[in-house]
Amino acid sequence: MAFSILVCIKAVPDLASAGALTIAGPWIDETAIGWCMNHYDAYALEAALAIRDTADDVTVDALSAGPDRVRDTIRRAVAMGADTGIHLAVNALGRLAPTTVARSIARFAGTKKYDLILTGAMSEDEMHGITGPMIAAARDLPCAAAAVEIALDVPGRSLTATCEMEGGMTEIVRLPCPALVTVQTGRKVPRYPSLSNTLRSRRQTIEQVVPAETATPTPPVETLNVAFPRQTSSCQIIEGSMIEKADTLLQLFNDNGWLK
Amino acid sequence: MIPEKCPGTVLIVGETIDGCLSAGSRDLGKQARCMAGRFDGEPFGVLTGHGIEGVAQSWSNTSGMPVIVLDHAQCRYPNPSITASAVEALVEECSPLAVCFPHNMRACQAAATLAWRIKAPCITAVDSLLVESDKVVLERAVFGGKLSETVATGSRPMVLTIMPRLFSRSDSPDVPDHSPSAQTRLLADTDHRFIPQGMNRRAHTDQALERAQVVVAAGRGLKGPEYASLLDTAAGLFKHAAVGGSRGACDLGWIPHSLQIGETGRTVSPALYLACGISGAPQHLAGMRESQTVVAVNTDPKAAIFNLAHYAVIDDLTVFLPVLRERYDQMRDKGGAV
Repeated sequence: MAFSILVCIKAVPDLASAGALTIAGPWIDETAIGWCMNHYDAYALEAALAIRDTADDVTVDALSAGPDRVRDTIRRAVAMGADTGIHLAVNALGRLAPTTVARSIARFAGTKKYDLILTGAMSEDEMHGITGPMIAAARDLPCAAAAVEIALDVPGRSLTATCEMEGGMTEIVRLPCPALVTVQTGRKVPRYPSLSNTLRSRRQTIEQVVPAETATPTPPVETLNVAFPRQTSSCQIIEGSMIEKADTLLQLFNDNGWLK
Repeated sequence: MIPEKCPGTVLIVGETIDGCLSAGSRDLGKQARCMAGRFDGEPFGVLTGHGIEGVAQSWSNTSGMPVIVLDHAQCRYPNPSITASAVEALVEECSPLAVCFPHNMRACQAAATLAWRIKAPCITAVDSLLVESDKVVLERAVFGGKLSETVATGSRPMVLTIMPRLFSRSDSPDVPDHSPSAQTRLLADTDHRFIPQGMNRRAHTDQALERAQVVVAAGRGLKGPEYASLLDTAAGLFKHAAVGGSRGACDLGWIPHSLQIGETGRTVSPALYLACGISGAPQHLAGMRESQTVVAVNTDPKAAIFNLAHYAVIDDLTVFLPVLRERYDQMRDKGGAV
């Protein structure tokens, strides 16, 4: 029995290559940075590909919503092994609100009858953690958040998700499919693109879907500004040469009786 | 007892896990009166679980607010699906100013579901809140705590997930003398699609991290697994030390996952926390915030860890830790004090 999975991925500022973040207007300066696949979404994609590795007749679509620059991230998903790349060309200036993204993806998913939708547990940049559950709410799908393991029962059309909680606890939940699961980082490290998939990703057309414009029924949340965190503690910067700094710390450790 | 259409209600939604109040709910309860006070309203507690009247009464007493229990057999373990539906019904009954959850991923799920259905703004991981005349101004960490975002919304009700300790204890108004009440509402079977099967509590046979006087922890600044031995070398300076890591370092396989310190990992409160190459994401801080002295080594002077640290060394840990060890050895060779 065929089983289709949609993985929703986000292109986020690549902090590893960007060096220092700079602020421009109410958000960061996006002109001076590169973009990469949200870390959590890479784990969601890996979870989907791992399911496809172990079951027959599973297809994996990778989708990203946003302007043209997200197409590179979609291509990366195809290079990692997604069967199809889909660009949801949401025509908006600036940042997209989670509600806007959720609504667009939910509408698109409604036309495709996916058995399972996977998203990252949150995005590295905005850290809302709500886009996945909102897609589920919009499509009235059962949802599990922050899964570190997904076991699929294809004939039974259901899945068991192990969801991470605080203090090292996990909760095990069962959901009937279709369902949406948000994926936490950790257990299965996302695979590197294979050569054959990389070549395929260069040839293969990325399907472009232009969502219908809809008025947003949710009241807006306005970003006033971003700033480097205020210094809230009286943190003392230890100055001097490397040796002097080491000696200062050792003195501190010794005075407190912590040293051997 | 439900405050019908009372315009000043702030719903405080807690949960129980197998009959026990969750740590986040306990913390949120302590902040409830302060939180509601900011909105110029009154807190009203909502607690999900199964057979938890005693826990609810105790939460009500310590938080100084009336509590309604939403009881269902499928709420013995956290159930964001039923929680969202049952709180949605309460929102319709009492038109609150705000609905507040403790911040964690399943609360984000319940909050997002609720907000979507009632068409309310949803703001997660709130770590500061100010009510101005016509709008509420909130702060939350973005980019792993590297930046703090300030957002505003004028719409009520709003759905929020609240970081621990948004209000310090000294802010808290006194809990009223009279004992508020707790009542129970049995939930109907509405949704059979989210079925909790059980819980796993990872048994740490080794409590070395929790018991250590000194914790040496590393983040992504460790750069690679080949430097992990530097942590053991640094830990070797101290009488009672243990090694741990941030989620980033553990996800990269540099440090075992069982030694992850943070919201979803282990919680430590040593006399000294030596944070090496840790940027200070809010999720990590949640696991080490109670440390008595924090020394942070990081190349980025703007790293969020320095907001919590008492002492900062702006250096590359892979260079600094060997120097620290070398100076220690020289000091001991000379037979004594620094």
